[in-house]
Amino acid sequence: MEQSFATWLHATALSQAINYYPWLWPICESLHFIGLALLVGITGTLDLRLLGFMRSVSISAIRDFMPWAIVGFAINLVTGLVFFIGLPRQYVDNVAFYGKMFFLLVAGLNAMFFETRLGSRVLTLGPGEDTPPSFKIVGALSLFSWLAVLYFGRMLPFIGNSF
Amino acid sequence: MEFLASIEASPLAEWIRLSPSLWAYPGILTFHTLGLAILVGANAVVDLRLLGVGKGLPLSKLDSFFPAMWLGFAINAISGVLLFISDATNKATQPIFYVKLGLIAVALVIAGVMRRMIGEATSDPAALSPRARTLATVSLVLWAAAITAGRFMAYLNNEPPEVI
Repeated sequence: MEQSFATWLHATALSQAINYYPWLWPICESLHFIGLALLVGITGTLDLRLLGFMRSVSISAIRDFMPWAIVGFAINLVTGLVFFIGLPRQYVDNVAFYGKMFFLLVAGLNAMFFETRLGSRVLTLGPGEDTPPSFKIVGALSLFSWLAVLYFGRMLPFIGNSF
Repeated sequence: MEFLASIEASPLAEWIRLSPSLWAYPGILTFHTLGLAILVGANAVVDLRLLGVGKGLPLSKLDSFFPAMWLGFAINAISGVLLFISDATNKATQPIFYVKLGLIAVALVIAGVMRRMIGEATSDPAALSPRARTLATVSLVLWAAAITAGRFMAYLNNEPPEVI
């Protein structure tokens, strides 16, 4: 089933267009790594603060950088789609790809939970105050999931069969 | 060249290149990516702050990002050397490899200059003027270029040596 979807996708005009330009792939890969650095660097800083590091810095000050983490995510979403649409066959049967998507989902749901349920509690936290356990769990889960996304992404050619 | 070939033939280099273990080439490559994220990510936070993002973050607190950068750099220096020896004769003859090293060297010097400027500016934030913004912009561009050069090493490979 996945293979027939991949075969269909590969035959679309968009997929053909992506494969028409030989330099598009390495350019998108470079952008994917630049986006990764922004996303993991900034999100990781917030996660460490949620875990209780750098307590003298307010959480909201670090959150002000989050739009740039989202820029990194947007870059990686677009370039990731280029990879998937360009050569779908190397992902649909790739266990590392599903590992990456799973932890992407965990990281996303975790971030949504933080923003919708815990976000308002950030302001009640005084400077220098330790973070509550709920913050620590969210921070640890976020850090772990993003590192897992990075791990499975990097392992796509080795556990799976892409390049 | 003979020296590079002998490095490449060493047991460690052969293990990295040929072992089916995920700890060999794939694992080292993963650490190289992790180090990149720590080094460039932490430097990007400093750069963005100097460009005016997140003014709630006091300049004096930027100091804690520099040890993270050195950690990321250490991870990548070690993993980079290991990746290099596994393919020394090829990598040493790739011009793009030296472009990458040059870009990293300049970016690191700029990071050092920025740290000193931030140190001086914590007593007088007004001292942090246009020059800091310029350096921050150049830093972001250099890291993006270094990442791109690194990525292109896989594509601008040397032709296999001609058999005479």
